Amino acid sequence: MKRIGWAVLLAFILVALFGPGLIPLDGTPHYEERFAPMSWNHWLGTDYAGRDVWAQLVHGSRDILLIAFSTGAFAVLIALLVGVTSALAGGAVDALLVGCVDVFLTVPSFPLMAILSALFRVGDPITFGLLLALWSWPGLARSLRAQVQSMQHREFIEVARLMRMGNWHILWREIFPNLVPYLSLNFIMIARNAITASVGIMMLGLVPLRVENWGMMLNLAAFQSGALFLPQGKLYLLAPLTAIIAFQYSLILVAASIEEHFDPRLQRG
Amino acid sequence: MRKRIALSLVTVWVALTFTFLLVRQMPGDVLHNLAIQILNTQGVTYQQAREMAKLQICYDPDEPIMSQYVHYLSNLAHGELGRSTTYRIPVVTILKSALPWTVFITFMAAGFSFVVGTTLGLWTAWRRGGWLEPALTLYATLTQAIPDFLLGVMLLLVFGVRLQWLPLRGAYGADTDPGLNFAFVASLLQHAILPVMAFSIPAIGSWALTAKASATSVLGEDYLLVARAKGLKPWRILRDYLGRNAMLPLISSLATSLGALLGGSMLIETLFGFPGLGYFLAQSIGTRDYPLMQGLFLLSTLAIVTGNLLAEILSRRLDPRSK
Amino acid sequence: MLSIRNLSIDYQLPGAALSVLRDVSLDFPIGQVTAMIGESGSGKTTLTGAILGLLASNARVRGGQLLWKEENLLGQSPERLRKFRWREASVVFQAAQGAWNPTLTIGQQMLDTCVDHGFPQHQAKREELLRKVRLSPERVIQSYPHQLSGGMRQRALIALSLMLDPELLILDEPTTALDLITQSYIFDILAEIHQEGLTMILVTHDLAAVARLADRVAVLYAGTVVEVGTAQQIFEQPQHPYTQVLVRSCPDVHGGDVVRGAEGLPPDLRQRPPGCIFASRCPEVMEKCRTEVPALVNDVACWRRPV
Repeated sequence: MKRIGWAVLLAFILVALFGPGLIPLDGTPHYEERFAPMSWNHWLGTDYAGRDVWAQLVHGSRDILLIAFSTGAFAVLIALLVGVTSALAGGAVDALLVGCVDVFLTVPSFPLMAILSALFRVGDPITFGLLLALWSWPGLARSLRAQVQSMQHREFIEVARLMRMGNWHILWREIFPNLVPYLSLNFIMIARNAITASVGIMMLGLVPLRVENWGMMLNLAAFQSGALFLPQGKLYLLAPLTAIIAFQYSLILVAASIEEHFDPRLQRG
Repeated sequence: MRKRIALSLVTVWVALTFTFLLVRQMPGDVLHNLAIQILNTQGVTYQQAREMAKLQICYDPDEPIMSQYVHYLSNLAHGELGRSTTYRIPVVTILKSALPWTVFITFMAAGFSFVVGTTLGLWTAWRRGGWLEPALTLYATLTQAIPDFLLGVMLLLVFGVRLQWLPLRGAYGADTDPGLNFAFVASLLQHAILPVMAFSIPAIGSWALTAKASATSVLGEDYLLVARAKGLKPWRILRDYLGRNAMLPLISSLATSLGALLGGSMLIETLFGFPGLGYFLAQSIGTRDYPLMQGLFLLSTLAIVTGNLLAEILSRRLDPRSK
Repeated sequence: MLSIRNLSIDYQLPGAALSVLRDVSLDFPIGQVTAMIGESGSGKTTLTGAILGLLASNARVRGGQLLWKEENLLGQSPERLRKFRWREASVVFQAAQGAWNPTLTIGQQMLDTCVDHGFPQHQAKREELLRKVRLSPERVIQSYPHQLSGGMRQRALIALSLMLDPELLILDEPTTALDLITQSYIFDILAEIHQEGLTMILVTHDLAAVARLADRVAVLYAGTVVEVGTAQQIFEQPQHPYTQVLVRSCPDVHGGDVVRGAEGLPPDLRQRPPGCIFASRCPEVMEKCRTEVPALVNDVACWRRPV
């Protein structure tokens, strides 16, 4: 069951990497072909301007993956930085950072992300990822801090201290490897939330990303082209919808399999 | 508790300051355009028009920053939020008309999913084994992957477009008369079904799992055994021994989630054309209507902060152990 | 009043069945305090659960009868059992914080059982019982469990158990985890109740409690009864090798004999060995012990007794 998750994820990644090279994207409108049904020419039909849906889906996959993974990467990095520093520094620095985290967590994140994305006219996936990451790191930072704090007092750290290994060494060789499973799970969770949030913002039409982006496709389909109400428009609407849901599911399965892999209860078995 | 209050105040202050900085992003020509308009309609000098325009949108770029900030705060204290640049009416008016809609839909959605979800969860824990438990877990896993607004699109497609059972947009039918009459209330409820379901379908799953976990841990406690040993009737055990103890932590979660919902239902409201806070917030961002954006964002933050505070107060009041 | 005949109970675990009680036969005469002693895992708690019909969900009764005044409690309907509980027999559990519902007052928890058994709410009785256990009703009735000390909660549990005038009172480790002064308090209360003629079953591993309160003693080891007798007999002239070890292992405050425990480990109950269950640890074991289970003859289950 879990393998399906990995397989699907891999499929998405492959499509994102190689798909755009293999399948050309024709941006010119052919209004006479709007909302055409499935055919050998157009595997998933056409959109409101007669453009091929499948090609859009393939080209858009790159953007979505970039958004998801860059949010994850930025968020994890920031969370690590803040969480670990907070735990190791202690005192006033810690108190300040904890206060920041608390405030970040309370402010309504989705509206804020929407506002900022719109104002900064975010046009490319990586910037979008950075912006989204700004609201994804606090939760992780908080738990990382707790974990590092508890690890500080465990035996292997004491031993390392006794052996006078430097702080950096402790950080790198001892603390970090223990965090890897936790970090990877959180990375996936953040990526999933980022997809939901980014699609939401795109559906509201607030960011000028490219049309093939699945979120943008949904925006155009649901709100702007009447695809929602026309029976022929269904493919155009459902294609990105299904792709997004499938991608989310694959991430859930992958996370579950990572969890299982690292579960200490199973390891001692 | 004090910490929570302090945190709430700081959060609100941060939100205030953020929106203040936000408004300063407004390009100068918005002020200029509004001034020109006033000039043309009211026949005053440009200087006067400009002053009037500043008052309308509560923004004066010619002042030094600190005094702008002070003005801003004092305006807020007087409940003065300026005028919406798209709708040309005071922001407060829009807020007042939108808030009840959001409250309505939020309470309905949260209440429905909470009641159904926790009942299912408690029931599953009470009746160990059987098909209900794996079914529930499967349901929860399946539904929680789908973002609620996408679920909304699918529901809209099936029930609104295809089957035409339920209306597509709006909070009530345009042909009904607002008021306490049957037609209006019926239309209200009919329009609320899809948005409430879009939210509730995944929420029921998550409440059920949480309730099940809480109930399972209570079932392992000694006082449950004592309750059975006392020969109490099953419903009393369910209500006073299991129910009370299992639900306690859930109630404060409910308060928190209510606060969060009030804070940001932009997508569902936009999708279903529901004229609540989220709908107007989405609109205002799209049209760069800064005064409105600011007012709505502040209100959302207040809602979340209040929800959290309420949760804390509730959990203290309800749990005898904290007295 | 209560007779257990050849009761055998297993716990169904994944992959194996744990034989927790095997062929247990015991009588509990009216008006007497019968103590059941034994190590942890001897099956004492399972037995009390069985009497009330409150076994774990993976427990299976493999045979035997539980006769309450000639009525076999095993196999009765849930409603019959519900009415039986508390009204005819009640329990005093070990009062970890958990025995009282934290969201109801002590007073409420004493009255709800009256209502569900069809009695009016006996407020007067509630006060009388609380006074009997040396608690002040005014203070305790309004209090929530966390507001009382451990000793107070335990005493309140005793009051609770008497609310419906049961004919049988089971006490499961009533004094463990309490300080000695509170223990002494509770012994006094229990002795009073005993004098009023209530039949009691005292389940414990605390031999001092047994010495103080019990008329009769049944010794359990790994789910079988190995010896029965009066308290005096058990303490002064223990017959079964296990009883002897048990009695000797209790240190005497005044010094005296060297304290010795039993050697070896308790048996694996997933696979009961043939023969006497104590054979693997018995200092007097012989061949016959390993192959045939000794029956309870003259109140002792041992091939070497009576000599």
